[in-house]
Amino acid sequence: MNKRGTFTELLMDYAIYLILIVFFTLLLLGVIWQQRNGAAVWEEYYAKEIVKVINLAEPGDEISLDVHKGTEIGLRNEIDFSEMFVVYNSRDEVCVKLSKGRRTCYHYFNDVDIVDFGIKQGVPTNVFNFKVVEAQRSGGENG
Amino acid sequence: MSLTLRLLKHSEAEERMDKKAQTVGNQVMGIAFVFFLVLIVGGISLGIYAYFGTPYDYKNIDAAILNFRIRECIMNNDSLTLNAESFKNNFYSACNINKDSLSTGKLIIKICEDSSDCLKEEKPLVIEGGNFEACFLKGARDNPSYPKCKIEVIEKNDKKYEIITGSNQITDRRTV
Repeated sequence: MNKRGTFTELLMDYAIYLILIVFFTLLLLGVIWQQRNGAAVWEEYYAKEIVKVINLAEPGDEISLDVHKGTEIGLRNEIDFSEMFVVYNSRDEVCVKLSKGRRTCYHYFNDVDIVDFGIKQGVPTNVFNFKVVEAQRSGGENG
Repeated sequence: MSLTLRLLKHSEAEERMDKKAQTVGNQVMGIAFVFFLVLIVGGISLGIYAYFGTPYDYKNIDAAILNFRIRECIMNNDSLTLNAESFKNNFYSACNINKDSLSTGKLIIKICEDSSDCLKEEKPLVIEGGNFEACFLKGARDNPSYPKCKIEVIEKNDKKYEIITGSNQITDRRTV
């Protein structure tokens, strides 16, 4: 009887340690998983860099930005090219989406519209092209 | 007999003490185990957040670009600087700045002409937003809640223009 009691106690002791290890491992994995190849960081970086260029641009400018790193992350997260970098002229903002479910947006103050934007692949890297034109106040969102 | 009984009782007592010591030992080790787990997991999590979690602070750049655009505009537009009325009426169109984007209050602009203290100036040429005092607070410099500002003074046609711009814009992360 004593032996059985000792075995049960032993099992209880180790079970508690195992539960604690599993709990903390899951917690750690959760923290790491949240970053998911740093999509949030790169979304913020690209949104701000594109806005910086737009704020300094003049109507008539045609701009190409290397976004290869961003497109790699976006493709890995199964995001379509057309959704990755979008400019909303009606709201004067640039939105970048490199992971599912969320996107990062940032506003620009330059009174211009962004037209003909899109990603061109393999030039030799992936680039984001767009044209800067005079603001069309009657227009809606650009696509 | 009594000796055997005594020895038996002694060994039973020893066994109980051993068991008690074992329990106490297990509890101490358990606490130490949890402490090290928390230390390791906490340390790794902090490291990840330190590397990935800190946002790319762009407010300084935002304020500097806005200030640069306004300075360029004032220097290159003679019609703007004819008089105060002309400046107020034509500022946004001449400098190609979207007034609507300033209405959120995340970007602030104050332009004063020949003023001794633009911060206290009650009749500036242009004023958009508020809380310009935050631009001059020493404690606000490292506080992420306060705007980051750029203050420049330029001269044109014997007039001094003080331009204060600030940005408190942060990225908007939205669920899609």
